[in-house]
Amino acid sequence: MSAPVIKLEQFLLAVLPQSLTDSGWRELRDRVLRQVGEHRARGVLVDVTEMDVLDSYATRLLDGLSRMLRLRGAQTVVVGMQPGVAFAMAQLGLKLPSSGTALDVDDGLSYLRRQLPRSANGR
Amino acid sequence: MTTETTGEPSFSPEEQASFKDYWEFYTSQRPSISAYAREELKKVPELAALMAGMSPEQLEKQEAQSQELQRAALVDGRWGPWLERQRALGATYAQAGLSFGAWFQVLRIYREGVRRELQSANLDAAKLLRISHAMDRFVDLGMEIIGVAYLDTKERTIQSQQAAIRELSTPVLQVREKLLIIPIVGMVDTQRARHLTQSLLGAIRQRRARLVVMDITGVPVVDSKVANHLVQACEAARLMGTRVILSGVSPEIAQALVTLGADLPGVITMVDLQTALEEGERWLAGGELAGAMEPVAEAARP
Repeated sequence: MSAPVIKLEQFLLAVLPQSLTDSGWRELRDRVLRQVGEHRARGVLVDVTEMDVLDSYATRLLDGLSRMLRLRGAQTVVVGMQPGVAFAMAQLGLKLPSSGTALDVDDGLSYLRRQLPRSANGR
Repeated sequence: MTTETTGEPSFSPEEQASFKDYWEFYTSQRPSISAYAREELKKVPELAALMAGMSPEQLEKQEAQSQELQRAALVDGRWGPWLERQRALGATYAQAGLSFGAWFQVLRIYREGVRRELQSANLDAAKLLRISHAMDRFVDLGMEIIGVAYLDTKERTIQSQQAAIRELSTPVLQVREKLLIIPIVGMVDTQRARHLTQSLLGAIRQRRARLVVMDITGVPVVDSKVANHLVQACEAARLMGTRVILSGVSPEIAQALVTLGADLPGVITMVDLQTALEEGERWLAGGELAGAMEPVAEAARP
């Protein structure tokens, strides 16, 4: 099972399923990194609304993806995290230090749009 | 629940026979034991008040009922109804607010009454011992059942009160669109902090809040544990894309936290609720950060 990646304006939207296998993660990572180049996307929204669990492994993969995307010139924003998931992650001390966060896709989009001119000026 | 798992006691035929001996002795001496018990019970203020509230007919009726249940248990070996009665008594007296100690007084008096008669009775030593032993078993069993029912009832009362207090203690107030306030008043323990964080996160999702002001002016003590909970709440909110401002850290608490080395890393703090609201309004209106949280590295910038 893998995640659909959709082009949205000059961004990409990856909608993660309820759970992802190791190979699913790898495939998602490869696809997003490739498509950022194909579409010359400036930002990626990662929608985790469906996910019930983000353990330390998944957190590391997710934040690692953000760091890789930054090297490809795109910012990442994680959107739609459920209260229970956020609570569990905070209890375990898990963070997403390299990713922006937003309540939902709408907020994530306006965040990325606001970030655009800044990064264009070579922050 | 403990009361429900306490099954019927099972006694060997010898034990059941000694209960019967005890019952026969008790009934033969009942008038004098009862008279003694009534006099003694009057000396305990709590029990005297209870007895004064009942008419002699009521007392008579209650005792007759109790006698019948005891007879069924001791002589016929039908313990169920008697056990049920003890459970009901324990629950009733817990609700009525009778102290636990009063029960021990009742049993002490009852035992004393029977023992006095045993001493003056002309019985051989073996039988005396058997009866005395049976009485102790019987009384202890009664006390166990009453005690468990009593404590269960008290426990339930405490639990429902705690739940009520928890609900009351964590209001989440909406000041305007996208802005919530959580005033925290009173001691924060682990359980409350957990509940607080959960209602905070639930409210963020439900009301689509972009900014939450958590005010701790009314919290008397913040130790490293509570500080850790506050950091976790802010961190969890950030993961959802919402910023938390902590306000109302008093000079004493600030000193204590820094001394403990728990100086709330990554939490935005403002001196009081007013400042936090003003800053929050400005921040939301300016739109510079509104709507999402930047990566930590950037968000840490003042």
